[in-house]
Amino acid sequence: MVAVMANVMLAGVGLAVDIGRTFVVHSELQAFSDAAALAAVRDLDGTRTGIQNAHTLATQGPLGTSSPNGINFASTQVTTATDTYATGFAATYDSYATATTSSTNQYRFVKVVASASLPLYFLRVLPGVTSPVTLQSSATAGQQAQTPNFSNGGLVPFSADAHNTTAANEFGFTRGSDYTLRWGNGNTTTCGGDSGFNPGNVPSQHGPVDLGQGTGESNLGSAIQYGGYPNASSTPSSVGVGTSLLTPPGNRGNALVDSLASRSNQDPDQTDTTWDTYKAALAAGTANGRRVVTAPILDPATYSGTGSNVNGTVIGFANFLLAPATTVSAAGNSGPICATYIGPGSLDGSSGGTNGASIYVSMLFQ
Amino acid sequence: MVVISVRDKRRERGHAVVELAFVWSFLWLLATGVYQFGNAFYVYSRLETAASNAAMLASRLNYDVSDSGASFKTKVKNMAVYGDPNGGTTPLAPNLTTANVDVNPIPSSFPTGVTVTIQNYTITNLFHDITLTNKPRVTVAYMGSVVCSGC
Amino acid sequence: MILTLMALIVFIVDMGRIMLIDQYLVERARVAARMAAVNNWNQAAVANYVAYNSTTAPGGQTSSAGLLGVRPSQVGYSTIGIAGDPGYCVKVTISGMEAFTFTPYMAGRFTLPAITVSLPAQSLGATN
Repeated sequence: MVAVMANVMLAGVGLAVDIGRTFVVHSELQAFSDAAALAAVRDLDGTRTGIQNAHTLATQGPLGTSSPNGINFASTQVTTATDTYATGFAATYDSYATATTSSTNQYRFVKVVASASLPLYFLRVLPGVTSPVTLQSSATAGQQAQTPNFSNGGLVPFSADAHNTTAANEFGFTRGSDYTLRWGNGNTTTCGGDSGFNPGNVPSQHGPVDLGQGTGESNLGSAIQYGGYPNASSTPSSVGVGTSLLTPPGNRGNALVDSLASRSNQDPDQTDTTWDTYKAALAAGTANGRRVVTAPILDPATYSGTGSNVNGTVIGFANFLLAPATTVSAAGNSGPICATYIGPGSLDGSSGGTNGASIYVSMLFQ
Repeated sequence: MVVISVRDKRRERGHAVVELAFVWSFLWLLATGVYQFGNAFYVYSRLETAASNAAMLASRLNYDVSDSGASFKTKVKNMAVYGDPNGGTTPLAPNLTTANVDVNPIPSSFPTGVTVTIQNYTITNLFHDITLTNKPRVTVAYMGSVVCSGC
Repeated sequence: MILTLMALIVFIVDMGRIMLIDQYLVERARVAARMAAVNNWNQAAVANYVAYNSTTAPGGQTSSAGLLGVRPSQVGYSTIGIAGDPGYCVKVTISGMEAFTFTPYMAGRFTLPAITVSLPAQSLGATN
């Protein structure tokens, strides 16, 4: 009788054991795909190198083999993961090989598909059940273009002057060029991207903005080093396109330049001076992203007022790479402070998008 | 007409006892195994889901350097145990507590990644408990904002 | 002897079946919460998805049982925190599921423990 009922019993055991294992492995595969997709999408910055870095993260996970998101009760690394890229959520997803064909791109979405093969030990006694079974999970992450409305910090209290007001063309900025976060005495600058640019009728040493931290040195230093402004208790309580910001002169003694140098110094990478080499440091884990800041972009044509009461209107946001701390400090109290433009405003570094009036935020889409 | 003698009936009962003796250990193995492993996989699945979702939260929460990330870790642990960053009363898995959850920002000063690990958790079974050491474990990239509330 | 054997066999099948239901509930809650995080779903959509693997009930009948007996009425969906905040989460709960055992001496109807899964909200249906 036992022999007759053996198949039934093994099927019963298979329900608990084999199917239980498949659920666990499926959950682990999903965790891998989600983490890999989110880690990869942050590297999409419109360059081929960005895709290459994203590919490594998509197929190995956020910390690669040093801390893998394993499967089969965390005992095995995922070895089968494919990544594809798209310029829009509903657009065509290109393979990695296709995505790296051009040196520049506008990819903002990455889809990671991870799979694993799992042998069945008990259910295979049932007719029609094959072993092993292939389990698969997928995750699509993207840089969502949001209407910028900073109300939970995330900005540095500096601005750069737009060269033109076309947000879709990144305000006339060139990626990789230096722009002025604080102009020098007499509104001079040595920042290459602003060479020959006339900001117009603006106060000397303009560039710093009041995000709600006020003009006191303590709050200014805190805002530069740790953000936190604007917030629900500050005035303004939020900053978006169209917000008018006070732009006090930048001759603030040591507080301003020292705080900015401290912000730069929070990053262990104090040697790389270009976005490409800094990206490599990020991928290698020798940089931590603290030298990447998001700043409002003002339209110089909107500056109004005089002296310490000049306001300008925000027309977008952009990400910049701060120079190493020693370079920042060298600007002193009255010299220009330059930073490298790396792309439209993004809370996660640079972006594959090009619309400076949006803020790009990485998240899962599917 | 078939006549079943008393001796045949005794032989039949004898056969049944012998059959039971042979298969008892096999059946007992199956019976205990289906419960032990089934329950273990069920609990592990709940832990894996809890760790994964807590890690997703950790990837985006503000990290306050003024308390060395203590408030950050508390919220992530609450998420792993109760499914709510603000805490709760009913754990997502039997006997799961915040002491079983390790939240490791990497590095601890300005994190670029976070690992959430379930550690020293014991799956209580009928016949044999199973202690999980450093699993399940999920690592995510940190994409949140570093703040300093005390600065 | 036969009865003992049969009881053990029925127990094995019973346990396998109940373990399957337990594990299935965890899987459904996990999948539904993740789908809710990337879609603009309401209570009804989430509940239908858990029960029928679709945001709409077959024939519009939400009272019918789905796979393994899960009904939309046993599914709860809520959010935690303030929308837009980093800690904003979606939460799915499956409760009140009953399982039947036929094993001698333990036969009856049991209510399974509630399953809760929550995770941070993601795109919530955005497509750009």
